[in-house]
Amino acid sequence: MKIGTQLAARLERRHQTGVPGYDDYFNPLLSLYTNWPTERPYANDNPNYINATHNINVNPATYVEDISGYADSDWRALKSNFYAQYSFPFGLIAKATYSYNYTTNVGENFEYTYNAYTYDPATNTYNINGGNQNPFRRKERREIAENFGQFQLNYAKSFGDHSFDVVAAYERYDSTDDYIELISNPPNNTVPLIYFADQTALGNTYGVSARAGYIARINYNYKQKYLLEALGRYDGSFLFRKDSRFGFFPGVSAGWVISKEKFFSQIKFVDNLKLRVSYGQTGTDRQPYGDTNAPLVAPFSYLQGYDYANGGAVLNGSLVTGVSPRGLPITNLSWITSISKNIGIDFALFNNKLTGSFDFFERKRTGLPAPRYDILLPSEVGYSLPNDNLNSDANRGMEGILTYRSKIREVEYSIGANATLSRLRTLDYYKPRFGNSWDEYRNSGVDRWANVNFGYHVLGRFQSQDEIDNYAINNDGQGNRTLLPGDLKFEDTNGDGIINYMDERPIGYAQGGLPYLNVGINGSVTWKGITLQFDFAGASMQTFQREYELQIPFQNNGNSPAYLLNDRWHRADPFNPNSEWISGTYPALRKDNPGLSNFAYRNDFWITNVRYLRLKNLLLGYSLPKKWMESIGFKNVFVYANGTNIFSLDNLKDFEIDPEISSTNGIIYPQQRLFNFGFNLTL
Amino acid sequence: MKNIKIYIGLIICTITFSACKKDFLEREPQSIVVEDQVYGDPKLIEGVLANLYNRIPTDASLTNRWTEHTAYDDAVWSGSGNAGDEYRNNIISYPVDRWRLWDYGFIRDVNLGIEGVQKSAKLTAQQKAQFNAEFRFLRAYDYFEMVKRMGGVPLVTTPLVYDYSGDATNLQLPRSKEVDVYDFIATELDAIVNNIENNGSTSRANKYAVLALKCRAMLYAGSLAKYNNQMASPITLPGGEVGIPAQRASDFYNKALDAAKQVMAGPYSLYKSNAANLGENFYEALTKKTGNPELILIQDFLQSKGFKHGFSYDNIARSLREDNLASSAIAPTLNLVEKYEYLDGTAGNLKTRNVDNSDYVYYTNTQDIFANKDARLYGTIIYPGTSFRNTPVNIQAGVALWNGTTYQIIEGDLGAKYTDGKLLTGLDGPQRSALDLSNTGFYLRKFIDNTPLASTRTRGTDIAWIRFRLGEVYLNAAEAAFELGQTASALSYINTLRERAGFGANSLSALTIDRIRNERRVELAFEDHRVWDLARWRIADKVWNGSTSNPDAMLYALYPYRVVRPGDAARNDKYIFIKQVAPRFKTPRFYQIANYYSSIDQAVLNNNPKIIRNPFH
Repeated sequence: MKIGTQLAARLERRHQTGVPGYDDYFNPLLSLYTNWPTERPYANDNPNYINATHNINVNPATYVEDISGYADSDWRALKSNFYAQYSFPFGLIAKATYSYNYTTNVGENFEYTYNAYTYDPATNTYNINGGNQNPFRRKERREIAENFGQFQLNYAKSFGDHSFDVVAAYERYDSTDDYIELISNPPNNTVPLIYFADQTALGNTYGVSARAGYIARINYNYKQKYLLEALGRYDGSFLFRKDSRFGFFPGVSAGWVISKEKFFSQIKFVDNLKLRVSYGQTGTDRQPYGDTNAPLVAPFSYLQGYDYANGGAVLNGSLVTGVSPRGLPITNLSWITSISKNIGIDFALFNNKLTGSFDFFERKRTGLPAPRYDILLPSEVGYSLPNDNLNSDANRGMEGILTYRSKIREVEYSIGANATLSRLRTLDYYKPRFGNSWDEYRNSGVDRWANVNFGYHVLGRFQSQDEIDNYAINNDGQGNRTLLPGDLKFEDTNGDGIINYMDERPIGYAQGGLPYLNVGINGSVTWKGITLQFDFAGASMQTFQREYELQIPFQNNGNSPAYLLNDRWHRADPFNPNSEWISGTYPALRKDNPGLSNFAYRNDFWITNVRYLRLKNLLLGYSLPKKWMESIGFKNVFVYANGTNIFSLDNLKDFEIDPEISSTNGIIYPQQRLFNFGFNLTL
Repeated sequence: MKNIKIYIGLIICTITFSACKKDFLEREPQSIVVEDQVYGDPKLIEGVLANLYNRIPTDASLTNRWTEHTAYDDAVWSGSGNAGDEYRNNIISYPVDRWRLWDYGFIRDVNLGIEGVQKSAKLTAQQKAQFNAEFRFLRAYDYFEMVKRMGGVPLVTTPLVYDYSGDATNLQLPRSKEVDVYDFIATELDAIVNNIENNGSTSRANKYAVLALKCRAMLYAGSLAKYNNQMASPITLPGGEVGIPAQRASDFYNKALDAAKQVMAGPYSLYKSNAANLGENFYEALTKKTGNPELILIQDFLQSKGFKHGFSYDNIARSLREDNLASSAIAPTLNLVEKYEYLDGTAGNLKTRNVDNSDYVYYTNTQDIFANKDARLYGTIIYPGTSFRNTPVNIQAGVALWNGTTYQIIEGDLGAKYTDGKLLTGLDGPQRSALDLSNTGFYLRKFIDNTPLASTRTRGTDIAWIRFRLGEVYLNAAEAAFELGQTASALSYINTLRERAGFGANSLSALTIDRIRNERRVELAFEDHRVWDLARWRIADKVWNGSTSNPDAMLYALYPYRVVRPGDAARNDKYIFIKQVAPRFKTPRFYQIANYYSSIDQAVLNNNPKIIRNPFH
């Protein structure tokens, strides 16, 4: 009999300047683009007076805690784990585990009011001119309680060359998530407490989730040479209606260690060679697209009835909480099944100096939700058919790793490389139908690579007004009246004389998703306690499209990156409308006009196939000599310096953005470069 | 020791699995109520009603699609420069699906409500009659909103239930005739008018709200019957889904007039509490929610309970904003300003040039050009030289510098001083391309909250949206009476309304349909009437014909300049005004024949083969 427990706790505090707007980062980042070079952050450069810039919201002088306020977030978490295990004399082990996790998050936002000023040199006065009179105070509190229990039986036995290992288990999990927030309109910038009189909103949500599952697994091997595993799960989720709540997910895998065969013993340079093949199903009750942590359906979707607190109205002076009929209950939807198929080989050669593995894989998802649209419910019924498990897709790809480890005198070193090439393919759709062959070409997903990136292909640039005037193709949908020399000339794919959506064709890889090709290179060198480690990561076959601030000059009445403004088509003399055109990389400037065909027609001038190789991590360390350390009672002391994201080789340098961001205007919290210095002690 | 271990082990096993519910995966929702609970409790039925009241469709209210106030001719968009906002100044032509509404989710919810109330075992007969009437009011309202956009739609009056048989053809209903939908609305409203209670309420429909809805719907039906058939080629479908027979016109006008008379005989009266300042009085008539005898049905808000909106945040005049973003999005046009007549009854065109057009007219103060105008101008629009929230706005585009032969226009940053030390450009602009700043020279006053901090996002405003008020009923009555040839009573209704605007008693002695229509425009600006009125009069395609040479299709601004002309005391430091196309406005308004009825969604057509398309789509 063994019993045991593990306890862990975490305290975390985040403290930052509270900036109004979408989140606390967006406006400061936006201000990099939006401020005009003619504006100063402070009126008359006097730091006591915030200047009333054309858009005070992005004046960087306001991004100071004393002016703008603060946003704090405190996490406090306790994780506990208890277990008891009893070993029967005949080889059966029974084990029960119980975990209880409790997490709280307290958020405190306080955004202050402040004035902005305009300086009047004639009178030497600072006059209030706007600012922010919108105080904001929010206190939020979240409590998450999670229970996990598992009961497991394990039986392992060997009969001669045959070994068995059998596991059966039952487990269950549930959690509650209680959230409450208070928002007030504080009358001053000093008192952080929230008083009833100032309160403007109260929010309360309660989430629950529950899952249970039965698990069985049998492992068998013969002389560690032939390996076989069969596995099955029977999982249930509270999201689904009772009769479709559980799903069965079996799996099997086999391995053959060829290097242990007799006939192989002659081949001396091979230390290990193993063939693997596996097939396994798992289930998920989470969203297949977008936020993959979100539930597949809203909890209780299988229930009819009425939703409380849906809308509402002020009736006769008091607020009446709205109640509304729910849509059709979702009764059939159940687990999405994920089917993994894998075939691979592991090997070790030359006294284990060269090791590696190579795999082909497919991860197929079946039962993706979609409605059975061939039953046509008239729209006049006022509801639509719920989703069923109908569609499927698959990620197919290959990956490989090679590592070489060796030693030259006292220098130990290793170098490794890995690569994954993988792409999503959509497979089956429920009874696909198309209006015409173009519709099928453009919109079908049946058995086709996913994320085809459609847009216009740019043939070149208009060289002169003459060329525009005589151009036979309607390039901008408005008879070419919006065009200037230097504007983009699109390919009229279908030759109908007008550029419109019918002319779009694939122009790039998936955008905003995972690159199809990921590579990594890593290595280490050790000499007498000195260690150098490096870690490169890279990717290719991913499209980045520039939009908004990275595309449109003076977007949103703001400024633009210098390259957009300098390297452009323009007249030799800006004050002479008859002077000649000088060519440049970017189109001629027209202020803040996103409707121009250059921008509004998504095209391949603005897209880039992102390629990068980045030094993700570099570590230099030294283990202090043992003799010295042992004398003062330590087994080992390792001091190190390490840096992350040291540099990257990429093809987005010209646009002054990081290759790993997906935000098309570049406005997102960037990759950070961190340097750590530290030591590890072993007692 | 071993025993202790076993006990602890047992305890762990017990905790792990003892919290046994009947079914571990069967959880109780916290915010779902079942049908029997709802229809057994009048408070919960009120909740169903509240949900529906809040979903009554509008084209542009204070909350729903408020931005669309700038998509017609009373205002241009002066807010953010996002492509999704700015396009309202550059609408090549209105899309044929612009006003599309197929609101059968609403209809289903109402029908479920009617059925639930009917089946309830816990409600009294009187409660049942009352709830039934209120649900049917909401249904009639929604059908009116659909028919005015789409023409005849299927009349669904019971919940349509799909039986999962794989065949839903039994649920297919064809479109009703347009005229039948209007008749249905009239019949339904007649059936409930004596059952509905809510006396004295402005936020739940009572007898007079029912009559006001009927009045408006019947007026629409009447004008469609009359004017559609006066078109060169009337818009009709052979089955009558679109097109109302001409001979029904007087019947509908009579019903409208009759309903209007009943409302006018009711307990309502025009708001006249601020006789000392008729402009403020009109503003109060639209913004005061208590002690306002004019309101018949409103969509109310309640700031103290967090039920509020940001219409003031988005549209308050620039220099008065309290937040650090937005403001000024809806900038009223000179087109609208000039529709407000002078109090002597002359047309409202502003006098910027002298009679022989040889020079500007010079005004001592910027507000002087607006002197002696209809008080509703002040109540609706903030124009140069006026105040809001007791703070003067500061509208001046720049200075006009006399160079000996002509004026050179100089404009600057907001609040900038000219070299003479006096104001160059006002803190409220206008400027030609600035965002969140008027580019017409006017700001909106109607529906903007003058409470301190109401223009912040955190506090917000609870100004109510007006669905029906007595002012509109007077106009409906005048129009219906005039169309019926009862010019004398039409005159008396119009004159009553004009008197409140400062015109004096019986200011008009003769009436034309154009004058009635102009009265409607100035009285009801920004109350979601303009586009519907032009459509039912069948003149939208002429007023907004997409031509840059048509002054009704182009939208104009008025830029005030301070004259710098030292040595000419009669002109120096006076103000001149320049009319021009609003600088951010790019494309003339273009309403095509195909817009009179919006197109039906392809999905709707696919789902029900009995639905036929509207003409031109």
